[in-house]
Amino acid sequence: MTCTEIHDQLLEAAPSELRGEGESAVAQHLRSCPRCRQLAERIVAEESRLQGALAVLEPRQPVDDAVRTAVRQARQRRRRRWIVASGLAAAAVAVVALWQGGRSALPPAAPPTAMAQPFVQTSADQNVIVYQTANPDIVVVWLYQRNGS
Amino acid sequence: MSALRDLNDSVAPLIVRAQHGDTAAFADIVRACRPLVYRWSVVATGDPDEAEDVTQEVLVRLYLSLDRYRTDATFTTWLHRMTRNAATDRFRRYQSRLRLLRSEEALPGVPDQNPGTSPSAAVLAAEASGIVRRFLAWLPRRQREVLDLVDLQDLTPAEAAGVLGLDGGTVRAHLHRARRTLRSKITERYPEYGRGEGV
Repeated sequence: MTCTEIHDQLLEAAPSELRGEGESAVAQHLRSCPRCRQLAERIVAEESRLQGALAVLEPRQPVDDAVRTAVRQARQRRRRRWIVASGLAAAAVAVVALWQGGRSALPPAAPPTAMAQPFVQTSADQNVIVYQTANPDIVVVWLYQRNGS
Repeated sequence: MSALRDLNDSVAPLIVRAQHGDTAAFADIVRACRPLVYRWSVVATGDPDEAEDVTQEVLVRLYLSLDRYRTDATFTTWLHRMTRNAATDRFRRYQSRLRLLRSEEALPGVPDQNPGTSPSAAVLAAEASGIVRRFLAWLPRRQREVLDLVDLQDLTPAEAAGVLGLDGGTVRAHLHRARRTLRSKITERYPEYGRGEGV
């Protein structure tokens, strides 16, 4: 096998073959040809640089900080999902109630004079909108994050 | 593969505890897995800086979805898929491919230093970062992943196929293409070896 043919095979050979290990045609040639062996050694050296660089790199943020940040972000994300889901559910209930109210043959409900004002408690980063519907039994409470998040 | 197997074995009891709300167990899982997730993220993105954000996103997703993990799937395979998805989402969002191509010609950036990081460590990290960017920019993402698992982490093609969710033939095809591309670039630097002598 010529050096030219070996050079082409070096491009796809396994790392062990590049090191001249085993009995493949490439390995045997490298053991007997210093010039091709040098080229194979260059390839191995460059790939080792990549391997070494990947082994050296690590995230800059200390792991304990990363854990705390991840837990906090996950909990925020879970709360946001819950708020969106509950808002959508409330909106759906309101739509159904309004639709049912429009179709109802019953006389209109009494004014909500006796109804207690809804009490809604939010965290510091939340806003709240309260919709009072024509039906005194239905109040839509919409909680959402400040700053549009 | 033994490193991955060891990892799967060591985190198995922690997963059960974390699934029952034990935050300390979750922290231990993160300590065990974060280096691997970061490496996968570097390989997936080709950029150590972006990989930090991807890694953090994976930790958030891990916390949110750990209770849905079932032990009939290999944890590292499940985690690799999560990492890949996080990298894909980021890729779509920021068109990082463009930056990756640009970074091939850019000088390696010096990362911000932690208070405890020595200047020599920072220089080492910057150098490593530059090497990784340059090499990985030559390869498409799937080829980078296969090359890293098989040639740099010594998994067999079959083991890499298990981690990546591919069949063995596809992995071997990606591997050969990756080696050919990478080594063609390397040998271009050594034109003195360009002509064979017909030995």
